Amino acid sequence: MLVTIKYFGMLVESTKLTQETINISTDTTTIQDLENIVLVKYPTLQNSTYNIAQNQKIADKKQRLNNGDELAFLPPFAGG
Amino acid sequence: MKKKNVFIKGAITPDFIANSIAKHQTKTTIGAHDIFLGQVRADEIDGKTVTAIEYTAYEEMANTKFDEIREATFDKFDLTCMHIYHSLGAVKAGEICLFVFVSSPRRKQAIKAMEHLVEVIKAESPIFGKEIFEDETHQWKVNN
Repeated sequence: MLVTIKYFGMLVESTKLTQETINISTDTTTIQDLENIVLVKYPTLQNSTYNIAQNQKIADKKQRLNNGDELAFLPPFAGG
Repeated sequence: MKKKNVFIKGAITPDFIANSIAKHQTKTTIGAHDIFLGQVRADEIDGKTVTAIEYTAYEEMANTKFDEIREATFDKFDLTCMHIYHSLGAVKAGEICLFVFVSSPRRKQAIKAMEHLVEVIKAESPIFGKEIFEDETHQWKVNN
């Protein structure tokens, strides 16, 4: 199953990239599972505050992933 | 409804704001406009001064969110029209980064709608700001 992950703002300082598409195994079923994978890949993200959006809506970590989902790691907002 | 693009590259100029006001002179049911302008502050933090804020956004989500905000605000207040613009990229201290413009037949609705709008925009739109200091170091801005 393929999902695209986007990173914004200060989080890019940990990931060094703004977007990636990853192939996840079938036992990665929820947003929480995906977050665990991302945190192993970019350990310094553990020191950051963020919400995760699924297909452009802030999501609960218990929500299930679907093939083709766009996830976004969003640090605190600073518009205006 | 076609999704509007809220974002403008760089600072929002006084000319742009003036033109926007001028365009409303044909809409003669309007009795009151309320305009909010967000300006970049030269904050001093640990002895260093902010010279600019560099804005980035999750643009697709932000434009969808701004549509929802507009729709909800039209439902809640008696407004004739409403416009929201936000900068992307670098905006220097003293320049305008947010322009919100509401128009109504009556002033009280315009003023109430504006207060609501600015709070919701700050809390809910996925926009990120990097405060750049004069020595080119930076820190990330967080709304509170």
